[in-house]
Amino acid sequence: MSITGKRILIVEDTPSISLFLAANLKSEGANVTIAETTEQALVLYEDSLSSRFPFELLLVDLNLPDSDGTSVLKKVKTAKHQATCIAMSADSSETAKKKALKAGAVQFIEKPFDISALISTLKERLHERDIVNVHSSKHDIQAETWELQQSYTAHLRELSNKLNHTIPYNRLCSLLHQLRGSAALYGYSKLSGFASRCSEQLREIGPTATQNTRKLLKEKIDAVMASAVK
Amino acid sequence: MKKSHKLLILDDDLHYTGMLALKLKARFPELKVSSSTQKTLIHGYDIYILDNDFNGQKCGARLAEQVREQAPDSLVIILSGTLELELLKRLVNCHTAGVFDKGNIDELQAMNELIEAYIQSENLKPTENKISFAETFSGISDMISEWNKKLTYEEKR
Repeated sequence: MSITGKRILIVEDTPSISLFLAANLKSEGANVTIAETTEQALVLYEDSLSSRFPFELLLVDLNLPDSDGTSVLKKVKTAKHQATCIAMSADSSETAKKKALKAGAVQFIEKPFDISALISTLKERLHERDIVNVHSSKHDIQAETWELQQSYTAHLRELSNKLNHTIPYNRLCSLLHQLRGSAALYGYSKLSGFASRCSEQLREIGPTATQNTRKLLKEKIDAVMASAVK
Repeated sequence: MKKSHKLLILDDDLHYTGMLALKLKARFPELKVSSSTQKTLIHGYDIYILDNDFNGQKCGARLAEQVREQAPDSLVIILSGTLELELLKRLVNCHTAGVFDKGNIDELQAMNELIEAYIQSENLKPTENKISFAETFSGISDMISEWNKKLTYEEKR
């Protein structure tokens, strides 16, 4: 299960933790928002319910400055569109766990956490959620496709920025390989073909062609993005 | 009642897998995507779609061999833009059903057709005396022919 394009709300008042979580989830392609208080979280969650894409998963710290994080869990549990909630706390007592699960969390994660394990848990929980929602309507599929396309467009813009700087030969080879596959799947067939040709040339010429290929690729991505906007 | 087939996509490109999973999700509700090549994760699926290139490392043959060891009757498909002789030999030996180019969108359709053929052959099988897909798949000669075409193309490059 991928979390690419999934809307996730992190409810956490410690910036070092929330930013660390956000950076890791964004690198997996998730669409992440941070709330520092229960009040902010409830406003953001309610706003999302009236949007096209409500939050699908909430990662909630139980010790927040304005009130107990379980108030967020309870609110989500009673909402029409129920997001999957995962509770986090440094208090690993059985009482804290039971309280979180009773309030609506599907899982309790003890702090400090291992980020790889946490991401695997999120993927599994979102996967279970997708199985439950298997009979999704055509509209949902279209909405998810649209969301993924937006995420991919943002990825291409980010890639173009990264290509302003020098890049190692092996990294560029790998990037071209990924681009030829993903661009084709997202309908950018010319970009995919260009990446394929660049990849062949780069392998033939070797590392000396790295920086020239990088510049050409950046120009191509920018041109593709510009024509997509038109 | 027809069996629901579990499908695993192993690929480190999350944008690619996100869209591929969405295209396959309606057909395979029990679909999982992973970017990890750990052996423990590959147990328990019917259909495997494995990328050959993980961050520059050619893992396709190793993954296919591990899958075949753990799931002898499963369908194994490799996604790769190139097909070296050594890779081909290893894939043939572990009964990989096909190799498809990620950069060619038409090959996605061919991959879907191969998966459907596998599912049909699975549904036709009696519940007892199961024999492997590699022995029953009628298009295996077509598959080898396709591989040979790709190999010839690679040798010309």
